[in-house]
Amino acid sequence: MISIEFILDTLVLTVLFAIVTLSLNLKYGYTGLLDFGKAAFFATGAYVSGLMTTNSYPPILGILTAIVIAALMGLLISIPAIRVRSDYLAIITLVFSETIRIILKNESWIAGGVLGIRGIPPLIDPRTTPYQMYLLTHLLIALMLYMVFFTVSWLLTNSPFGRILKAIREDEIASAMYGKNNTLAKAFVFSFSCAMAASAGSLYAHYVGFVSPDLFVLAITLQVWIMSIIGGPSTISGSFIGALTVLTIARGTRIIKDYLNLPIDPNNTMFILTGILLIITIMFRPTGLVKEGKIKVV
Amino acid sequence: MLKATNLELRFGGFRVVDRVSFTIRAAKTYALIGPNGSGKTSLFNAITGVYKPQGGKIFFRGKDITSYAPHRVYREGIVRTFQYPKVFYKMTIIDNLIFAARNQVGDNPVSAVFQRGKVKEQERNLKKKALDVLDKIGLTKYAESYPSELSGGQLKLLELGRALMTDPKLLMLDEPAAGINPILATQLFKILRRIRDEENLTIFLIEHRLEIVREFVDWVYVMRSGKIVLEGSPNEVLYDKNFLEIYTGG
Repeated sequence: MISIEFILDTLVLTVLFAIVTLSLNLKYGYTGLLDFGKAAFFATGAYVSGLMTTNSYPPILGILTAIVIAALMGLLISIPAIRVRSDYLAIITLVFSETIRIILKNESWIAGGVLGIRGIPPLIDPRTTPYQMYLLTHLLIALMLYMVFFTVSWLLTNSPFGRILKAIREDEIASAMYGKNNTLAKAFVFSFSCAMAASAGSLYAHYVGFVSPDLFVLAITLQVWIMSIIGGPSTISGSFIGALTVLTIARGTRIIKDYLNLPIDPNNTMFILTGILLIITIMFRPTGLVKEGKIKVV
Repeated sequence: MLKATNLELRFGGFRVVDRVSFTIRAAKTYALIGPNGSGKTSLFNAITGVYKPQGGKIFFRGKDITSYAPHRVYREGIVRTFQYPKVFYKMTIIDNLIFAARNQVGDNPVSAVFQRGKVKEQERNLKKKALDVLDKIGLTKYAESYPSELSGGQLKLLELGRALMTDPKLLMLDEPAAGINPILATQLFKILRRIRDEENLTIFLIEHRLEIVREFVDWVYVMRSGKIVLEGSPNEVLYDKNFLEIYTGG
């Protein structure tokens, strides 16, 4: 039976992944920057928050520090990265992400190595609140964060700055010829989107209670890509729809397998269904479930 | 207005622009003609900062703008169009135009979020200006459409309109009539002439066919193999004994 806790838990993850997907949409969907390093910035947030709160700093300070550090890291990686063509950028970000993960795994003095960080305090004490309330609180906090990023992203993309982003995606030379500073715009998007992904990572660490390098493998980045493509990369609201669709399949198949007698290994149904959906989307609705809209400034 | 001296652009050992010097005076129209591969577009690219010239100097209104990045060249008041229109296909036509306008508050991401009132006010004014430009180039009914709905000739007009949005001091047009049939091309130049005379524009354009621009330009530079080999009024050039030879490579 599907319990209310199960639904709430899925929703919390959906909102957290929607934030990461939104950060990819800004970068890839609007600006055309291929970023395969999402997991690294998600991890940055989770680790910074984990380290700070287990050293008894308040969670809010952890999240803010995570945002600042990720923004700086985004800026740093953007220096070499935005000078190269799109496919090389994909390689740089991918390598960066894997490097971070492998360092975290092997250098146990930083954050516990393979074991990661345990005992990250939740945002609300689970011993004094009912479990449903505990889930609901996390959901509301995640939603609040998502709404902030949602609004800021909407304002950014529906503004003259949003035009610059789309112009960079379509033709950088034409954009520069009309006086736009592409480098600055790209650096901003890099930094802002990394901060966004990190804040989702922070909440994730508090919600799950522990972090380890194996939570931030390439598969996470790819999952976010699938969410982005299915939801509609050049949209704001597509981030939620994409995350919801993919996570519903991922979690729904865990329940369905108890009821259906399938001739295949039931653990694979999730991969099969997500793959089929991805193929169908690309074939019949390449713009994603939500279509790219016009820029609305006024 | 624009003055280049001994401008040189090399790709490897190949001199694409070979010590070229020329002058553009305000409120006049200049044509740059020459056979394929003679370096016309490369010269444009060197002026607008797409490529950095290896030698020579470019002065614009007395200021040395050699090796400026494209967005700084734009700030000085030079704007160019491309032989193959570089329009933004996923933006509406009016967005393509507003994009080009100068000094937009909302180009700054922080202002785009926190100074929404100012951004909106400017946007309304720019929209009016864009509709004006659309009226001039005759594309008013396409304001909210996407460029994919336009014909090749209309795309050229859109590029021209986008350039006009910037209030250019110098308008550089790379083959504004390329790939358009001669009748449409003549129409395009008619529109261009009207706008030029209304706004007293300085124009530097590339064209293959001298006969099309003959009535339109004041002065012609002829390029061959990276050098300016001939210059003069359209008629002088057209009847120069070497002109045919330059073109046919005889």
